[in-house]
Amino acid sequence: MVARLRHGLSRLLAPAVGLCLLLILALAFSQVVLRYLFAASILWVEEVSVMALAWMTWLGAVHLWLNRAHLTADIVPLATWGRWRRRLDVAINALACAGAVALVAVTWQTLNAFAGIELGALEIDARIKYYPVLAGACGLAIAAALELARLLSADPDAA
Amino acid sequence: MLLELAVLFGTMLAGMVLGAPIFFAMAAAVAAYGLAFQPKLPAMVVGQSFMQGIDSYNYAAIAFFFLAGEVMNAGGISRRLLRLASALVGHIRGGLSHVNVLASMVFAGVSGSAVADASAIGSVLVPAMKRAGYAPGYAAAVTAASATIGPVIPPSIPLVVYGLFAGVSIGQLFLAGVVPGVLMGLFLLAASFVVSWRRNYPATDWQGMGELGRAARDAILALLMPVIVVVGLAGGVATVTEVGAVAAVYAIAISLLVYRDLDPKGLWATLQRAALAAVTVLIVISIAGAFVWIVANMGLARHLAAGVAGLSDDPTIILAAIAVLLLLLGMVLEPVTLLIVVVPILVPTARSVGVDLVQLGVVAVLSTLIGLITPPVGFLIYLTAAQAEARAVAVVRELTPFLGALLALLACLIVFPSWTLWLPRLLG
Repeated sequence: MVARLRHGLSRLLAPAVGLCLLLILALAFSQVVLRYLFAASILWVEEVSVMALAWMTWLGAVHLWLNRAHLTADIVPLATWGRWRRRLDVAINALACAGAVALVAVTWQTLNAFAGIELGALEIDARIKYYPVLAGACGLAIAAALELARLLSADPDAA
Repeated sequence: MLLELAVLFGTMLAGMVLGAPIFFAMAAAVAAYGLAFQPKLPAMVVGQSFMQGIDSYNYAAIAFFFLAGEVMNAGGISRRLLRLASALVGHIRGGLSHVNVLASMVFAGVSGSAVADASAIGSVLVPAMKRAGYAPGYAAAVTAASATIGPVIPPSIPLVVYGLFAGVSIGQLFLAGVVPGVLMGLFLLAASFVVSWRRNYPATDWQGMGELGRAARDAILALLMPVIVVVGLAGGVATVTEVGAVAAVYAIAISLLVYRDLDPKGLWATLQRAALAAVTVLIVISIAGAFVWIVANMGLARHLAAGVAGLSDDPTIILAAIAVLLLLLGMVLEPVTLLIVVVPILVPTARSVGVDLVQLGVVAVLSTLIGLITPPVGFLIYLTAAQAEARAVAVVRELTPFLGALLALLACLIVFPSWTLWLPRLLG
């Protein structure tokens, strides 16, 4: 069940992250063509691109957590195995789960402080800018919880 | 301030050493600081700065350069560059070792990441070197050492990160990376030649000018990529994001339409892979927003600049001290993370004693890259050791002459600023 959930979430996030990059590339290249061939530019391209970049970053971070593919230094884990390695992973994922929940609360607070303010060129609610962090924090809490469930249900002696 | 520093950096380092993802270790450090020194870090600042960390259009360039490298690699470019390198230096004693270094130099022009370089070149050359009788540890070592050229020759992801955090022209930095990047290749080739000569490693037959011409013609479109990047930025014609977008579209166009080694399905998979590779760096930058905010509010950079000014006002000595510090920190920290954490602290110090910030950029990036091939963390050691099925200890031992060559070059770049600044001054 946990494995299916992790796999399903992973399969959902990878294309979403790819789409974000495709959108940013399409916008940036269109801007280059417009600017250098037609001496024109679209005002909202940078704001939309930054938002897509934020979505890509925070959704991608959840995907990387699920697949244990984030950058790490791994000094102690390289020298530990079995139970101790597992305990370390459990501690990291439990802390991450709690930290991500705290980040959801903090971002929610930040988001509400921007109520009624509009973004420059787009003239839309400024709170929209913080949705990627909020979604990412929720996703990280879920990913860490799933990883925790996997670790706790696995063989305690497995590396 | 010492207690604040201990909590912030202590938590971050402890998290990293224990194996937590780097971005999470940084976030934990921010949280620990916030809890320990409550009124100094309002909760709202954390929420805001996690977004503001990547609230710049320029960061899209990092994703574009990752994409260009991934597409070029998936589009069969590494095979073409290897053929060209083989036709050029394969016939010299220790040919495959020199091919490895030369191919990395050329590949550096299409990729800005050392890991991408080691994966692309190593996956083909390491097995070939082992079959030809090279020691597995040596095959891994030469691959790891030469992969560090990738982020110095433009396009370079660490130089983009340094430029954005230090407020230095990325065009100037890319130009400044050209000569040191080529010199890295030459210094490593010299080390490769000496070792190969001593061990009597084999050479392949000279394949003739015809093969050299055909290999060059086959690789020419890929070789144009660094030219596009450097010309676009050096002329001040385009921004780094625009140049990155053009480079990525160019890579897609030649891989799909000219080389035809990549189909739309493969392109979609490559796009997702590149996006996720970029996220490994972007999420650290995002979290660094809060981290840098704390460091700036502590006034650490100001204190450091004042302290250093009292020690010496010689830019060369200060630059050497910064390089040593980065070499030591690079043994445990990944290059981009190190640049993000340290650059905002060091730049005011360097500026106050007259260190050229473009020269500092190249020296800082090379110093942090050397960390990729030094124990205990050296990521490239483990990656290439796995490719060669060699023990990490053997790879570290075989890395000694290459490490010596890179450290000698680093010393030269510190003592002779003109090696770095000649090209930016000529074209900038």
